[in-house]
Amino acid sequence: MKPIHEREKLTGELRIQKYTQPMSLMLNIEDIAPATEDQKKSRVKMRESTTYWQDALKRFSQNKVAMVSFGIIVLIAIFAFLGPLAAPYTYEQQIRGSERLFPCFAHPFGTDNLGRDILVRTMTGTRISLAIGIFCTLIVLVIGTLVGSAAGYLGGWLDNMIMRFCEILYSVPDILIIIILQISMKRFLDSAFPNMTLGSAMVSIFIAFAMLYWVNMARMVRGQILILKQSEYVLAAKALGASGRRIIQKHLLPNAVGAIIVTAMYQIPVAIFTESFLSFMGLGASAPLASLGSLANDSLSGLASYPYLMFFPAMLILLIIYAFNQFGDGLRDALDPRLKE
Amino acid sequence: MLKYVSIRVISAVVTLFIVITATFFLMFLVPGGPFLSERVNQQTIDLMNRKYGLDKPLYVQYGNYLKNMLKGDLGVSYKRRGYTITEIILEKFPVSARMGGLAILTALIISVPLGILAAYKRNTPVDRVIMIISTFGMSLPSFIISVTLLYILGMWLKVLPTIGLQTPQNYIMPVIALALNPTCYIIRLMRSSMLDIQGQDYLKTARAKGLPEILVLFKHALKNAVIPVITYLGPMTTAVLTGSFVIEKIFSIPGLGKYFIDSISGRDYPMIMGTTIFFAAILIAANLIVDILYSVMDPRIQY
Repeated sequence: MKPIHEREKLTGELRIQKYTQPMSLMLNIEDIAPATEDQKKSRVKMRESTTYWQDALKRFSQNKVAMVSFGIIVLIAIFAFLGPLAAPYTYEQQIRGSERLFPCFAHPFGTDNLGRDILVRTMTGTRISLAIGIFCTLIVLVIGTLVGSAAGYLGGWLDNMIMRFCEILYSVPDILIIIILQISMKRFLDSAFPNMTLGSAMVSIFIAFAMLYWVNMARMVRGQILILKQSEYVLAAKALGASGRRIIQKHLLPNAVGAIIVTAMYQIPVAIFTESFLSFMGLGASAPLASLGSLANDSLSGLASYPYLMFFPAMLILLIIYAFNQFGDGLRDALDPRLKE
Repeated sequence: MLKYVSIRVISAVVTLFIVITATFFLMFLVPGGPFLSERVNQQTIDLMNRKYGLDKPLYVQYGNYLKNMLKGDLGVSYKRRGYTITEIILEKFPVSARMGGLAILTALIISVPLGILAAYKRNTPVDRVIMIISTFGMSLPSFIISVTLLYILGMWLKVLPTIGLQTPQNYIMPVIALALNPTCYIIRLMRSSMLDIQGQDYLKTARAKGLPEILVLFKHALKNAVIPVITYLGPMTTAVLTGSFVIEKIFSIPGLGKYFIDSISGRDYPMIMGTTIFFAAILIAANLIVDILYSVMDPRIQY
């Protein structure tokens, strides 16, 4: 049954009646009669309703910078994941007699002092960067959302403890925490699994990122949930006896999903940058494995004579970070227009 | 106010204590011990463990470490024999601090006027150029900036020296590389905060009573517009400090950042621990100072 003011709009006939008659006679039979076909037709909406995702997709595809960045990311992904399959060399293959070649047809990015093809090594390095990005997004999505929603929904001492913990992690720079975590884990990994393809330093970087990067997301999700918790629909769900888990899953998280995706996307360039930073300082990928940072590091000593060895990895780092940042901005504008600067 | 300051001081001390504890246990709980990589027999390892007090139970070691730290003693370096960690830090840190301080000063001197200019010339070509450059410069990783500078100015044009910090010219490239990201960030910050306060009543009053624009800017607008920049000083110190790790490496500057990275590759665990705690203490102190400064600068905030 529609509330009275809407029925009034519908029929246009409701009049205020004075209390001169008994209640049963005050009833205007037309108010509660079913609507006629004409009335139903007039209620049909003019346009197909669009869902949240259709709306976001439309906004995103109108954003040229974001679309171009998305295209660049796709191209880089093809370069990194399909490129090594098509290349005639592997990243660790040392080609005798073609050391220190300037970029040419057989080796478009040149070769290093051991005769390894830089193009293939750059592809492998890009693959590591993207893998770091994907891995971090997953971790951030899972751990951050779980912790944040638990803290926000349950509140109390659990919330307090989690937030104090986040504050402490916040007041010390990421790089320092990651370095300390990495050193202690590397020693453990070295003794537990001596022969890893990725190398213990790289694996410990992955683990350190997983232990650190959920903090941002947890804070954001907690904030969103604290706001959304006050909504009437949550109260209604509670009154109907829904469990806390169901309320979080069905009512709170779907309403925060835009902000969650945007936060996760912004974490990707940070993670990729940090990995290349660590590898550049010699704390990440070790030979023969290459990441973009370690490639740049390897070429530092020969920069005066072989600048192209630095150029390609450095340009790729720049391109990846820039594209992901712009893509993140586009997603933010599309998914969560409230956040726009 | 006093209550707020004391709460902030206590929480900074607690944070530092937690950082120290976490660092200590992360570095010592893992199996292997610090001498695992040395190619010597077990007897020697035992001797070395006894010498450095590593044969005692962990809580005794932890207690000793805390006690010594209160006296300013962070232990001895395993690799650089005969030096205490405090001595090494006191020797290396001034180099990094001078460079970082110069970078922070440069960033402030360049960015604040440019931000104001962009705000005054809003939506003109001047503003657009400044904004495009600063947006791009904000996302440039510091090691790519320094390598580019090093190659173009140092190796190709050969106008600046590339290694060390002996002459004033040596400072130019590292300082630019360290200052670029913060500069671009502050320009944007300053521009948006200048635009934010333009509609405020006190500016309308100042202009209405016929003050020249230059006085309006310096006496009324700047004081309020600069507050967001103050809050950014804390994160900026962090950025400059972590940036110094890689920039000191690239330009072969004998500062604490480079020494820290070298001691990680050299597995000098007490040195790593000492430096980490020192860095954390500096940054926590910087954030504390900024917070207190902020509350002094902005009397609107009530505690």
